[in-house]
Amino acid sequence: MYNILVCDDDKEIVEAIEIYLTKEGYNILKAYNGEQALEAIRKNEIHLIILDIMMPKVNGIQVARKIREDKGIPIIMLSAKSEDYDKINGLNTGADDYITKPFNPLELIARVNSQIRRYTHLGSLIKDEQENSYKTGDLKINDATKEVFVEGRKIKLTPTEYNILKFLTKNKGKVFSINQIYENVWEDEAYGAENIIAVHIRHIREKIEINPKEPKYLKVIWGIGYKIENINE
Amino acid sequence: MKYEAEESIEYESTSRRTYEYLIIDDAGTAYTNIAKTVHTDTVEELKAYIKAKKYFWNYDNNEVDTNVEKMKFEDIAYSGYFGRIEKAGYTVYSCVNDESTEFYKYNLVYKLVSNTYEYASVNIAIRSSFLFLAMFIYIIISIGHKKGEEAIYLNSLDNIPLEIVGTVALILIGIEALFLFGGMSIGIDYTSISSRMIDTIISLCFVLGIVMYITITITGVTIVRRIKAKVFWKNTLIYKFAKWIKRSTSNMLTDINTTGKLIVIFGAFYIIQLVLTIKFITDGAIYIFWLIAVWGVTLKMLIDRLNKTKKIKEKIKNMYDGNKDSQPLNEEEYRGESKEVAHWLNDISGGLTNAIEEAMKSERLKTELITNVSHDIKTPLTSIINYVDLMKQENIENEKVKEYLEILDNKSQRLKKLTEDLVEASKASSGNIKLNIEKLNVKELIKQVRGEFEDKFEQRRLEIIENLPDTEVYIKADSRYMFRVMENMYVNISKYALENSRVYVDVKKENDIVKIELKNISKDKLNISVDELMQRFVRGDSARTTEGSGLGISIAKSLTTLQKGKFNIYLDGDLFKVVIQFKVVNGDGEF
Repeated sequence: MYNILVCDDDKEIVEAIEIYLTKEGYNILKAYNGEQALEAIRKNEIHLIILDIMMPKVNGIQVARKIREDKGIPIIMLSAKSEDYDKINGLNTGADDYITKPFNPLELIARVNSQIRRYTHLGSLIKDEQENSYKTGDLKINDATKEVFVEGRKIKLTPTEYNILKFLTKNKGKVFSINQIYENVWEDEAYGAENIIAVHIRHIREKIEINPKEPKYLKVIWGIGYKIENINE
Repeated sequence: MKYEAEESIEYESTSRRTYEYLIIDDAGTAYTNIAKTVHTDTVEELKAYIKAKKYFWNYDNNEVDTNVEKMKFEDIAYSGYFGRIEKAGYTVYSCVNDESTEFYKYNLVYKLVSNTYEYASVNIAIRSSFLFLAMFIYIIISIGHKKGEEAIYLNSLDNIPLEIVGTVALILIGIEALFLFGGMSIGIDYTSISSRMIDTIISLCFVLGIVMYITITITGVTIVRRIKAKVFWKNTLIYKFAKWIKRSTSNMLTDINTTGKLIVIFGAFYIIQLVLTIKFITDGAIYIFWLIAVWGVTLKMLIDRLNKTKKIKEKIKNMYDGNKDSQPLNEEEYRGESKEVAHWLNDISGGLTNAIEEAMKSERLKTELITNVSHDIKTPLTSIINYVDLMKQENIENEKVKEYLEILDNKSQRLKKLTEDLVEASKASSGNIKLNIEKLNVKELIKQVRGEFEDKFEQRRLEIIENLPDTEVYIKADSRYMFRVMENMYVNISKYALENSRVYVDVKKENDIVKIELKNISKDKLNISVDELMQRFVRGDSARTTEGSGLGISIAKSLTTLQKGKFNIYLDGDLFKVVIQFKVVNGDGEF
């Protein structure tokens, strides 16, 4: 049983989140402003915090900063502010994830699960750095078993998708154009059939990313190519 | 009297014989300055000599014998001079030489006048010279000032042109001087004037002297005041006349058109040239310098004018470029027509800058407002979406409730999309977006976007036909916003294209321009103009039944323009064609 603190000045939103997360088997603590949130953190053992930014008295940014003074609890920011600037600001103050309102409940649940997994098991569980494995962040590929794990979830991929993902992960951080991917994966000259690469990559994204439109691992650089983000722990 | 017995005459030698006399003292000795001749070697002969003169004055045996009117006994009986003569018991014979009479008269009146004049002005002044000097300095300093104020105040006299004041003053001084000195030179016979007249003349002279003094003082004061107020030249007729000439000629020059002016100026130049050339031929080398001088001056004037025209041109260029920080023209530098042009330009430029700033400000405020409002909408919308979703998860038997929930779900999702698009559209159209410009491969972009939409197109059985150039084509744009543009267009096609039709995607490189053309057949009749389509909130289906905000095209156009591209839509029957143009950058570009 993990304790999740939900903090938003809009009570209905807090309650809706409570319903969703209780169904997932979490224990929910509620707070309606920054002060209550900080008090709840002092008094209870919290495993994850969902934090609104725009709140009266102490705002979400200040709360996150206060928590980060002595605690490493995962923080998911939840805000109506959807500008890049707001997201960067939120993540820089110590948030681990940023979800904009109005949010998709399934995405919220997926992100909560992901953060909880990371906080509780990961990092300690799978430390088996095998020779035939590639990894970036919480994306792990075991080439011996042809298995792919994202944040502990096992991902089912077709052989083509697997080969593309393996190639990109092996060369994480580097951008490859469609032709380059084709030539490297198929080890053949690209002659038109490479058009399906873009489709494959979208499918991979849909499988490994929580929100394929805002991918964390498989990034698209429009007009240039694709890459697997190099995430260091 | 026994002159005969012991007659002794002492002749005084003197060079001046204007005034001749014979004085006999009580001892009987005679003194004279009359030259000794055969006819003047006795007292009687001397007396006769004097009596023969035109003007004589004799005193003998207590009697005055004279032919000078105002010197008769009754006129001078009580004067000091006469008393002395009388008491001493002298006999006096005196006369003025004929030839010197005019001088005598002149001398007499001159002495009267000058004594009066000196007394009236100079003597007083000198006697009180310290006081006078102090007063003079004080007056010079204080002239024109009002108590406790810095400014120079002019009275009505100071506003009268200097020449008029000067002339009046000169005439007055002239008249006075004429009265003072004139009498002597004209030759009024003062000897024939009565002594009362002389008194009158003396007092008149005194008064005239004071009047003259006042005249000079007033004139002096007004001149000093003008100099201090720096209007010495401005308040002259010459200045006013020159100004009038300048104004009327410049008006004339402005009125006649540029061609006329050019003809006049060129004509003047030509005539000067001609005259100087002829002079050079006939009168010699000195005129070559004049010619050179004229050329030099003309050249300088031409260069000046060119420079000024250049400045005007630069100003217009700045305005054309929308550079609102450019400096206004210095209107003082210009004359005549160019001055007007400079003034107009400054006016337009100022108005333009203000208008641009106002527009930018209001656009920024609008974006801020839309962003804030959308934040405020998002929070309640979150609850709506979440609770609709929660309700859907409940076990609902009633089919109608299920149907209603579905509608609620759709509409709340649309509302979500709408608020997001609204913020983006307002930011894009106000240019309130930070671009991250990179070198992008157009072919790669087209393939990537196609990959994203392949499934959607397949669902509606749309066949994509791509015509891409053999070589790679690069443009400079923001990767993410370029995708937004393409995404909006592909979404449009996937929504509005006729099912089972073909969609053409052509990339054409024409010189240094790349055209991305997207063509599809609309499933609905396009009874809408291109202009309307480009506007915000307008959709091909005017009933607005389908999903979408109607902002897609507007956002795509704004984003393309922001990235210095061109975005155009062409409608031909049911053919819907979008052309996006960008400038091609070199394959080995600088990135």
